[in-house]
Amino acid sequence: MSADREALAASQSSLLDALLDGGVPAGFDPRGVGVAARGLLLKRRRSVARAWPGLALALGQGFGPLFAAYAKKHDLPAGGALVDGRLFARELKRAGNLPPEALPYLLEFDLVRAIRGGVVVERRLPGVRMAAMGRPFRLLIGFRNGGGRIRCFAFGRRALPTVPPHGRAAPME
Amino acid sequence: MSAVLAERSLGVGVGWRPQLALWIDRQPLRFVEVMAEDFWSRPVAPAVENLRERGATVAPHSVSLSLGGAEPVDIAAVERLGGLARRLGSPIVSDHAAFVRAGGRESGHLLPLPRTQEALDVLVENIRTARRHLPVPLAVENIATLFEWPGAEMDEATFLREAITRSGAMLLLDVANLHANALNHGWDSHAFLDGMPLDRLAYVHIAGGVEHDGFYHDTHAHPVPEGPLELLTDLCSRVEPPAVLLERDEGFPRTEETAEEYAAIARAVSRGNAIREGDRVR
Repeated sequence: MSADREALAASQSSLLDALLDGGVPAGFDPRGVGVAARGLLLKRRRSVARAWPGLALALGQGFGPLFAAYAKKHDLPAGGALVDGRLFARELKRAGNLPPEALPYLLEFDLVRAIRGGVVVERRLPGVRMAAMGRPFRLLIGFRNGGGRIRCFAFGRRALPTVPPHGRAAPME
Repeated sequence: MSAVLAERSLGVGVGWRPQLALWIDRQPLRFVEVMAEDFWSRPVAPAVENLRERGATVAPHSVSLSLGGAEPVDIAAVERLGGLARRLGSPIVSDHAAFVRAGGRESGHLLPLPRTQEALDVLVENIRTARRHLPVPLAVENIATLFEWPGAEMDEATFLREAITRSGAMLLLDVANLHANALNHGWDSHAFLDGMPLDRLAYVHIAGGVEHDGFYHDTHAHPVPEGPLELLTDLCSRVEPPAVLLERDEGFPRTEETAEEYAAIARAVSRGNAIREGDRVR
């Protein structure tokens, strides 16, 4: 990189750090930067809710605070909202915050798509995926044949629907 | 006038979105734009293919090239955009005079550039690099911003005009973004139009927004206010744009409201055309 580019890289990087982590670089209008920083988070959240309406619906009112907590620790991936939502769901599952109603959406995504090199790609081959949760125990098994058709089976008491119920996510602000 | 998009004006088009697909399909539209990033991981929607078969021009609009970023342009991303243009038979592609990543982090939204000679040189170099790897012309759009960098060495019109003319890019002029910046930063939008290289105008964006927190927000989720419509009329009184395109991304209204908004834009264009034609007769 040329010296001009190096200097520009440093100043763009410190501005972006401020927007994502808080703070205002010297000389900038704190009000404008603050509103823009909040806007970045809200836009990211709206994009995930749009790419993952089933997940947003399942989380209901919890979506906003849970997503804010996730976003604080994890940067927006270069692959965009589809990848962001899948990683968000993974973090929710790890922390025990994933509502069981969201499982069919994750299963469907994992049967049809994959995240490779940080971007979403369509799967071409047949496959099997499982999603399980304890207390009460629920298990979903999905099969995808070579033609892309999906069959899903649910086990356990209060079994989950095997087809994602297509609904509209609650509006975000 | 340059005729990259079409020999004759394509009129008023709409940004194609799945939520608008049905309405768009019923209109005799000759121009739509698609969000380039939407088609990286999935095939082009059949509804878009239908529009193409009916003779509509489809242009991919990108938000991820980070043309004003200090990091070198991602050639693979540029080629992917070019590939989409080829697949859609598009006469033009576009992105913004902005940056969206730095230091390995993504912003997720278009961020303003410092208006310095150094940043201008980087933007020009990036656009030239992108153009070398594209099969069609590249149009560069002005963005709406909630803040400006300190230490500006020139005004926005000069910065954008220099970037366009030096790099050989086309201009995608967003009158809603101009309206937003005029309100938020006290710019003179008519003086801004005076400074635009209108001989390089590819087409025009217009969109809705809303005022809160003491700022005008270019949301693409609210009705188009009078301000951007007046700027559109002013622009059309100076030059006939090859096309005007309405962007709506969220908060989709009822069909009647979409139709009314579309009609209001067409009226704003007609008013400007009448002024221009009147001037010519005189």
